[in-house]
This record gives sequence, structure tokens and C-alpha cells, in this order.
Amino acid sequence: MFVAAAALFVLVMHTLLTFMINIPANMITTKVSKHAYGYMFPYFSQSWSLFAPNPGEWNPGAAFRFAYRGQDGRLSMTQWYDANALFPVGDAANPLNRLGLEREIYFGEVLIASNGIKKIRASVQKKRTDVGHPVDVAALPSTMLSLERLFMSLADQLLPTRAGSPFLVQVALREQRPDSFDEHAKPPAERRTESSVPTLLMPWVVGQRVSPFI
Amino acid sequence: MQYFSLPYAAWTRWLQRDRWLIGAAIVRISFGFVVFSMFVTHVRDREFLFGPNGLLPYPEFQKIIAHLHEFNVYGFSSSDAYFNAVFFGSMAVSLMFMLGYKTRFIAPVFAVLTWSTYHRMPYMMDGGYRLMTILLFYVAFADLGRRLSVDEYLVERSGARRQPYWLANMCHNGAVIACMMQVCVVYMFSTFYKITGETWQHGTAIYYALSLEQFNMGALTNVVRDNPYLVILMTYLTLLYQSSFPWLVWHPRLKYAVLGLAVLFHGGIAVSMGLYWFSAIMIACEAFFISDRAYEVFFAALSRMWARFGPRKTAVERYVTS
Repeated sequence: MFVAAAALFVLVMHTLLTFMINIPANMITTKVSKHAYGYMFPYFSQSWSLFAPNPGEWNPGAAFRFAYRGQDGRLSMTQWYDANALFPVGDAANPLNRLGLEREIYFGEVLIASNGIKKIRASVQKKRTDVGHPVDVAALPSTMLSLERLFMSLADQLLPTRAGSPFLVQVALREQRPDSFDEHAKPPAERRTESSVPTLLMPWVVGQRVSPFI
Repeated sequence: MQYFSLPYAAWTRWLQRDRWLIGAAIVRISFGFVVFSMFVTHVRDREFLFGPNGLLPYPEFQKIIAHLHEFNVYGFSSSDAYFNAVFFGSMAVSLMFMLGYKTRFIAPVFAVLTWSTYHRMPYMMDGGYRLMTILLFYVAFADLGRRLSVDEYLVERSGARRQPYWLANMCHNGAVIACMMQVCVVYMFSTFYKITGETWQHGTAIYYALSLEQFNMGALTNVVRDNPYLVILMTYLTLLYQSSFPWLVWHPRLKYAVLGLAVLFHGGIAVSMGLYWFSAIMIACEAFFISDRAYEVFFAALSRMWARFGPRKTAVERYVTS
């Protein structure tokens, strides 16, 4: 009898606390939140705002460009390179990746480094045969540990041959919004599509670790 | 006091009986399959994803688990050999869990190792994995290997009769109830947060979700996304279904309709949005809500259908069985 009572008590208390940590803050949850979180965190911590309050409204992506001083001493800036376009997903050498890694890890926060390097590793075999691809992916570092090395290696390949060393990398989020629902419902000819503009995320001085990704 | 004693006695008796054994076994097989598949699909990239010199280097990982006061099996050593031992050990345990071998012992080990692996690479987490890691702590107390398992086969082969122990039954039933409540919490709060969103209120949320590159699977996704009527209908149906699930799933008859809708809903998400594992986990969780008796009826019907429409027996087989 005692065990049944204990089971009932544990079940009820656990369910109540599960509710408590899910309910948005109010007078009661504020009072008990310290105890509730103390019990639930980290093993039962949870949040179920799946696609809520609204689904994401823009496609995450990343772009980067280099500042460099040419041999004539003049300061130049390269064009923006789209990190996602340079290392596209989906042509993995390992077909199993299509089920697992590629659909799970590349999205969400723009992990430029993980995006870049993983995609490089996944697509090495295909890209080696691509003609005119700006980056020799096989020559890039295959470890995640040095984002700096990745960018330096990219710069070696992307900068003009006679350019000096890059001293600045700018990384930007590529903000690509889909058409609004009302706009998309119109016939294609009448739609007004907004152009996507890279939004500067940070300047990164080579040699100084100011990147939030490191 | 007598007002409480009768219901309390009924609760005690109710809790001590064998329940939900087949549902729990189906969940065991499904969770084991999902985790084992995760290990297999990532085996080539294991060092990059989970390794001490990978995406989340060991020193950073140590800081995170120290900050969160988490236990993690991968946190004990930074050596590659230890990492590989834990990784491949976890893979073997997930296979044993799926097959139901030594399940009583393996289930808690599986829960700890699965938690550790997913939290070694937190960027991989999604709602499905989060739910699964929570439920695995509950089902560690459940009797997951009594049905549809190697354990069951071994017991039958040995001819020994397993005596159900009242405390084990009580733990099992309590764990399954906790899992059911947790699944209802997911649906309830998922709706709770959605209804405050403008796009959900306007019936356009599905359009925006399917417009994201991350969830756009190509032609099939676009069929839904490009049809405004379908978008609005599916957005409101999603809200209606998710809000009704936590209440209707307790009704003895209506629950089958709700569970059928859940399979269609999550199957649709898997196909149109590419969320295979999330959908697999959510569909697996529905198995808890069906009683053993209902499963027996279903299996008997399947077996009758097989006898009627399956391959015909040869004359020798008919003679032997007769």
C-alpha cells in the first residue's frame, strides 16, 4: 500500500513540475520556478515551442569576403562569396549522410565553420572533378579546430594571384526571405520579390580571434 | 476516510496488473532503431561530430558540462581510444536494446549512453531527440523486454514461466503513465505557444515552414506550399489536432482516431519536411496509448488476413498442419 502511495505521489509531483516549467511565467510559476528548475534541470529540461509562435521567416546562410593589399599597395575588397553556394549540401560521397548528418546539423544557427568544412569533406570526391570550381576543396584543412586556417586557405585560392596577404575577413549572414504568403498566392508575373542582401555579422581581423565561432 | 480507501485500493490493484507490455516493446524497438541508425549513419563522421578534436572540442565540452552540472560518459577522458570505445559500445548497446536482449539491465545503460551521445553534440538535438532522451529515463523503469524480444524468446525456449512481480509491474505502469503524460505535455504546450503566433492565427504558418530551405524537400513540398487553400486547411488542422490530442487520447474509442491522425500527421511531416527521425520518434510514442488487448486483436486480425490472402500452402504443408 505504501509503495502504491509513493508511486502516485512521485507521478503527480513529476507531472506537476513538468507543467510548471513549461507554463510561461506567471505569479505561481515564478514562485516555484527555482525549485522546479532545480529538480527538472538538466535531465528533464524541455521546451516545446515547435514552429511557434511562428515558423522561421528567413533562410539562414553565410557570405564572406576578404580585404587585401595588392602589390601596388592599394587596398582592395573581394566580392562576397556565398559559403552555402561554395559548398553545397546534397552531393555527399557517403549516401548515409543524406539521412543523418546533412539534414540535421547544417541548419539552425549558421555555423559557418562546420558548414564549410563538413560540406567540403562530404563533397570532396565530386568537387575534384568539377571544372571551374573556385575552391580546391581537397586542399583545405579538414579539421574544425581552426576557422582561421580555413579562411586563410580559402583566401589563398580566391584572391588574385599577385595579391598580398588578406588582413581582414568579413563574414555576413545572408538574409533570404521567401515571398510573403499573399505575394506567393499571386500569379508569378505579378509577384514582387525582394532581393536578398547580406547583413554584416562581424569583421574579423586575421590573427585576432574576434570571431564568435571560435 | 472510507471515501478514499476504495478508490485507493482500486488504484493499487490497477497499478499492480500487467499493462502496456506490447506498446512498451514497440517503443523499445523504435527507439533502439532510431538510435542505432544514428550511430550507423554517423559512424564515418563520428570524430568530426562527437570526437575530442571535433566540432565541439573536448575543453569546450568540459566547460559546458561543468557549467550545466551534467553527467556525460564522454566527459571522462579526452583520448581518441576512450571516445571510440564509448561510441562503439553505445552502438552495440543500442542494438541490444532494439533486439530486447538483457533488457532490464540494458535499458538504463542505453538511456545514459544515448543521453551522453546526443549531448556530446548538442547542435544535433531537435524536439524528437529531446523527447526521446527524456522518455528513456522513464522507460528505464519499465519492463520493455517482456514481449517481442530476444528475452521473451529465451524464456519461452527454456520453458520457465516468468512470475510477474507486483513491484515490477507497478514500476512499469508508473513509467508508462509518465511517458504518456510527457507526450501529452508536448502536444499541449506546442499548441499553447502556436496559438499566440500571427501566422498560425492567419492560417499561413505551413507556407512559411515549407518555404524554408531547411524543410523544403522539393516537388512534394511545393505541391502543398503552392496551394493556398491546402496551406490554410493544413495549418488549422494542425492546430485542431494538436490541441485535441491531450484530451481525446484518453477516450477509449476516440483515441484510435486521434492516434491514426497522429500517424498521418507525422508521416506527412516526414515526407514533406524531411524530419524523418523526429516523425519516427513521435509515431513510436503513440504506441504507449494502445492496450495489450487491442494489439492482440490487431495481430489476430493480421494473422487471419495472412492466412486468407497470403501465399497458399502446398499439399504437404496442408497435410502436416491438419
